[in-house]
Amino acid sequence: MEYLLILNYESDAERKRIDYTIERWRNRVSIRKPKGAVVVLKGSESEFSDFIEDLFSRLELEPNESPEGKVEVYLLEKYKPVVEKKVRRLSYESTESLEIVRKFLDYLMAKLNASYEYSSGISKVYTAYTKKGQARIDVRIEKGEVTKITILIEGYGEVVDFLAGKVDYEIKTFLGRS
Amino acid sequence: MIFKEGNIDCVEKLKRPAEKVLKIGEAVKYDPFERRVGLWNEIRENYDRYLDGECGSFLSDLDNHFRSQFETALLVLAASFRENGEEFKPAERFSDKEIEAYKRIERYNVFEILSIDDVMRKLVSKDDELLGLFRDYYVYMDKWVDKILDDPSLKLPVRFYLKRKWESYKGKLNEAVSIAIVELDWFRKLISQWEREAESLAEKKVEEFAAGITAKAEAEVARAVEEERRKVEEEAKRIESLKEEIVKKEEEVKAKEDELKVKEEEVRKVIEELRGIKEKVEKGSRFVDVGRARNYEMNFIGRIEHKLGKEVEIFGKTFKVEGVREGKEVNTSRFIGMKSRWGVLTEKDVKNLPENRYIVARLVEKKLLGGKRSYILKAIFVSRVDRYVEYGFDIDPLELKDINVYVVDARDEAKQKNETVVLCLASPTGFEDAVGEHVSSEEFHRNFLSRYLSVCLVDLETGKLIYNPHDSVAKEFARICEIEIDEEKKSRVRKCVDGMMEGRDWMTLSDALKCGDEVIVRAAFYELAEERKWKVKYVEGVGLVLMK
Repeated sequence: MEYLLILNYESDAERKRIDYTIERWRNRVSIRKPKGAVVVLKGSESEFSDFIEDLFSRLELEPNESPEGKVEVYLLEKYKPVVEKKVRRLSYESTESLEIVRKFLDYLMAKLNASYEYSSGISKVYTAYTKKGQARIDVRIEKGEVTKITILIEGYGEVVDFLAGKVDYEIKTFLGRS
Repeated sequence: MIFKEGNIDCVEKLKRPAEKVLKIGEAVKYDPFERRVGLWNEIRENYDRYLDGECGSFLSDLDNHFRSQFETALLVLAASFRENGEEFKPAERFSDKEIEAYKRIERYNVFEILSIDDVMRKLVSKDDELLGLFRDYYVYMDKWVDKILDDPSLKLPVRFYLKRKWESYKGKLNEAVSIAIVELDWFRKLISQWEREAESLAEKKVEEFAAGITAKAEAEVARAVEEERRKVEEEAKRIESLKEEIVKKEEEVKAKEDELKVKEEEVRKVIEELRGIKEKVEKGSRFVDVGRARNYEMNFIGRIEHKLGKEVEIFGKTFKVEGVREGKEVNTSRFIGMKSRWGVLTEKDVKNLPENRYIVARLVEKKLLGGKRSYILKAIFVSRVDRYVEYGFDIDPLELKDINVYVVDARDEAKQKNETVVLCLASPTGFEDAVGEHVSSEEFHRNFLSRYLSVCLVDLETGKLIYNPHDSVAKEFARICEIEIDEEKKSRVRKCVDGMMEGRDWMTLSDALKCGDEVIVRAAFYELAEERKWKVKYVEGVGLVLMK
């Protein structure tokens, strides 16, 4: 099977990350980035036929070169890959004050290279960037007899478990349980 | 009210991490990554809280000031991540230009800690670092900052912060300069040198600008050239289309030539056929269409009427014209609505048909005494009307059977009235030779012609008259029957047609029309045909053709 992916990116850094992902997969699957212009044409067979005829007339060809050598044509079918979002929920309780727990969690997020995105009132939302990808981290602290900590990690692929492992380890260390 | 409803303590608290970063400045890059990420998060969170109105709202100048501090603190951290080559995606919110502007202005942050006395002391000791800042300030920095502060691609709070900073540095710079140029002679010279440098830089900029304009002009020229090229291409296209048109026209001409060739072939076939037939072929030797026949008729009748007048001279004697009567042999109105090969005949079509009109007159000798001689003149236009009705034209000369009826009737009338009848028969298609031979023969003279009857035949196309040479009456009356043709003109046209036939086997009537009026050309055709033993033939699709 061959799949055509159109990857839209917003910044050079995002493009680099895409390139890096492609590089990492080069030894595992046959993957290539087409060099020429990639065009997705939506139209009837006759419209496509007219287009390709016009296109062939514009190509610069050597005397014995055929246009087919320059143009690869694939019949596309929309494909929605089933990729499930992973969610890991971690809950802890601490006897430490809310302020100390909050400071620790701020520190933990910075340590995980997680940047503050916004606050929803009861929780703060961060995005963590790792070499295994990025994930959303929802941090919630509730004050009661004990201070309750709830961490929700959402993302795709191994980054979720990777971050969950790190968070779990750090919080448990903080709580003196590890 | 300075603070509107805002809580300044609250803001001070929220701003604390941002102020800390601004205070540290670029040196924050030496802090650990996690610490800077922590600061980033803290500033972001506090900034959010401030924007959410946690501390209330402030007058715009103050609000701008607070926001500029949050934003620039984040910029300082972003600059640190970038400079350390650390990947921290949120730092991408600041462009390279914003970071560069901050760094350039921050080069002057030494003025935040130096007093004027400190600056003067450093100048006296010719501190390279400080002199470098003064030089850059004079040569380009001030203008560059002005430009950058006007650049909308930089975030407004960042520009607000940089403007304030620069103004504070600039104030101290100017103050130090005003003292130094008085106290330090060399510094004054240095300032002049920097000013010249600034001028030359400005000139260079102008040149670059001019070069830009030249480039623009060149681009304009290129555009004009492109436009010209486009016009030339359009012209070429137009020429191409003209060429196509010419080719089309050539094809049309060729088609016409082919058509002519077909006609030529047709004529050749007829010539070959004619050459193959030994006997005389007169059928189809004429071509007179309905309109022309009608014209001949009207002219003939009109002319006879005119010539007769009231008196006429015959054999040198005056004859009175009496009882002139005009009539027609054929009532053509019955042909209205008739289907023919040239369409259904309308009233107008029918009016164009010949009616075989005639004029009958009695000519009585004018004398007082003795017996008066008299003649009955019957001038009749004779045509095969049915042919004109059916085909719209006739191509055959009249045959004996066509005229016999008139001859017989005239003879009977003459006998009955005991008077000489002079029959003048005019044909638009002429007469077969047999008719002429018959009329001229002894036999005809003996059997028909007597003192009662004289016959004169008129070929309306050639003007040729046929009568029996032994019939003196017919000869005399021929003057009245004949049609008048300008002999001089006729001779000129004949000569022309004859000349055109040189080296040719045949010629169409339409070709020969170059020689003159159709009536005379036709006459010339028939005369030449008779004299040279050529032939005149009507060929379908071609018309009348004179053939050798």
